[in-house]
Amino acid sequence: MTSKTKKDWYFTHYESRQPEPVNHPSPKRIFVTQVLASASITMGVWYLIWRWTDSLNWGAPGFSILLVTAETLAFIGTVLFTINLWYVKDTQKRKAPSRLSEISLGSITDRNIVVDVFYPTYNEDVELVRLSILDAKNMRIPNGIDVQIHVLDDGNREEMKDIAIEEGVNYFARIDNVGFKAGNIRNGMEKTDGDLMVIFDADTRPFPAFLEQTLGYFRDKDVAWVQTPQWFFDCQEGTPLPKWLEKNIHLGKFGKIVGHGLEKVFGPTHVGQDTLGNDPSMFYDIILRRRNWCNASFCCGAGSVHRREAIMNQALKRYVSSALEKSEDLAQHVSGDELHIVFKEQLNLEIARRSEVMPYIFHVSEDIYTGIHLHADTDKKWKSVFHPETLSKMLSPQDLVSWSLQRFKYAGGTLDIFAHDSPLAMKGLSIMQKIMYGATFFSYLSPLWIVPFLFAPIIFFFSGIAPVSAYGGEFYAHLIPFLFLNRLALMSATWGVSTVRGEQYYIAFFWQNIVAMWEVLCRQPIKFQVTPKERQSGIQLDLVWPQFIIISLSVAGALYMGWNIYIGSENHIAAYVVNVFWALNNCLALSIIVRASMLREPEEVQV
Amino acid sequence: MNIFSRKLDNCLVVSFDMKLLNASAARYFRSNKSILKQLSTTATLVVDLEHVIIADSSGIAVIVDIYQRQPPGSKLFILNANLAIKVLLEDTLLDQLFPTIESLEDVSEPERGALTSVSSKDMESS
Repeated sequence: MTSKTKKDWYFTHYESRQPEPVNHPSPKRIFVTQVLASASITMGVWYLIWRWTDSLNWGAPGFSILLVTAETLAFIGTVLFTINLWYVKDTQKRKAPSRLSEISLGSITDRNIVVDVFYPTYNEDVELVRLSILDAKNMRIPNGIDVQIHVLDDGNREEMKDIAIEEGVNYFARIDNVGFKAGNIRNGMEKTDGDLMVIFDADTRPFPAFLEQTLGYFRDKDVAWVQTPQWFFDCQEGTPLPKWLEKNIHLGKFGKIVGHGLEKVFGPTHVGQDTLGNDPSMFYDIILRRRNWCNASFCCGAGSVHRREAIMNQALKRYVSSALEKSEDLAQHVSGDELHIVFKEQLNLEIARRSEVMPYIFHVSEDIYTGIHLHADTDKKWKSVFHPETLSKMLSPQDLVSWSLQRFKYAGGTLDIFAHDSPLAMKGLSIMQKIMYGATFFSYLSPLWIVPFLFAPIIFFFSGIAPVSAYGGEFYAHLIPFLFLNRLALMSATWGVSTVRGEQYYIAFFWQNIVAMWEVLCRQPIKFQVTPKERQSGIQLDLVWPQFIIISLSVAGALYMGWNIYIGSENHIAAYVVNVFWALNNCLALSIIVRASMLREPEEVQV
Repeated sequence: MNIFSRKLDNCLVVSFDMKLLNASAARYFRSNKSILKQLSTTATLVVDLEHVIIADSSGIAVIVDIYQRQPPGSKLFILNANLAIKVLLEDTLLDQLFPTIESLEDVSEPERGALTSVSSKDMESS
């Protein structure tokens, strides 16, 4: 079949790649993680108490309090993250069902289960979509399941339609683009009637086992959706450390031996791997998977399966209650009991007439938002399942423009939900669900502490004012146990999953994050944009100037104060050393995004 | 599966002649051009669910679909909903917008308009 695809792609030579097998942490390891995490949090509290009570430099109260507040906020983030890491329990796997009665209540006549597979697309290369369709057609179909594949083309393209027809799948387009992806899927739902719906992105290429592995969870009649990990099979591999030392650094045999030695201690290491930090395994395998036990893993769109009944039931509730709320807002201005009632009844009806039923909420983060509402349903108590094994492959954003756009959407979308319809106020969510959703939200507030962390060393270098009364033994004694234990706890929790890029981008992303926060604060609608799946061309330094400025200021500051110490006009040597390391850490983190902005086109494989 | 409508003055009665009101029924309804055409001029509409035994959320959503095609100021009533359907209407909150009625008599005077002159038996036979 692949002979039909005429194009060669930049990812053609990655086609044979397979995802890493999933780790199954033993109870012993979970216990060790919990002990380390508890110790780390205890030391963190001890450090912060000391910071607030005994370490502030009262010569510079504003600066001191700003920094210690930032440290406290960062620590709250660490506590939330630790709770997230605390426990892992996957949902029991079950055999795929074969009759409708096995997955749903209340049917008169039993029959096969109908599964709709949706491919929403807008402007992706049609041949790219063809690859996805081919793989979807190649999925093994369990007994008693009828599968229908539908291309939902918001681009209304003839050539897309031709491909759908050639491949023998359904094609639906619409005249407008209302609601973008969520609206596109709604249009697909209106034209289909399956019991379960698989949602893919245009570039999602399922493995043959996709249905066999995911449908069984729906035997539990409370399961609303199953999310599988998104795996980018086109991330840069990088060069193995020994080879890098041997060839790139020109150390020859000696470099190779040193490289192998280092790998014995730190594990297999690649240099220049995944510059854009696209690899989402930290997110799926650690963060989302460890929310499954408390029914708080959220919905991320592509690679998920949904129960139509859950989606539609929730959509109707949301539709009516939002109409009632809006009319209550307006009706409160009408006084007089009887008049108020009459007015409100009429308003209810007219607002409902103009409101939309949205199976998936028309929002830039429609997937997570719809999932939150399902979790928060007070009567139904819908469940979500996170399936740990990768069952599909996708393409990652290949350049900083696409990358920024995607991260910006995640950040803005999440912040927007919390600003306007906060899960923390939803009655139907459990405490643990609120903590887990809250942890995601809180992580997007990170500029509040990262910006002070980035500027503190710079301010110190140029002014000589330190936010801590003394960088002496006492400082190290309080800080180092926490940093050390925190690192051990993280290593133990994430063994086998690389966290380096995630940690770098957590800092380096600060500017894009500030812009997202600003737009939400100003109530500007977060724009819907389709993440480009193909490389954008051009130099992208204009995206990273804030990071560039901070790196420059840090280096200039370190040199400036270093010079002053050298000529003897400055004597804060201990503080200088701490701040140089601190600034270095900042610069290393920020440098990743500057490097990413200079990524070149990958070498063309062939045309 | 069949859907038919009968007009009684300014009141349109749409009957769902099917046991299951589900996504396929909703889809079938949306393809029924002759009924869709009438909705934009119908001020009072009655959805008759006499034959429906089981409805799901995708099926019951057809009521919103019908209602939204009616002109501003219009109303929609649900006739002959069984207990299970009433539970679903309550669960989805749709009962807060669309009253359920037990007979066409329950459609209040102004909405029925000239309907008052016709007895309910006549209507069933028509």
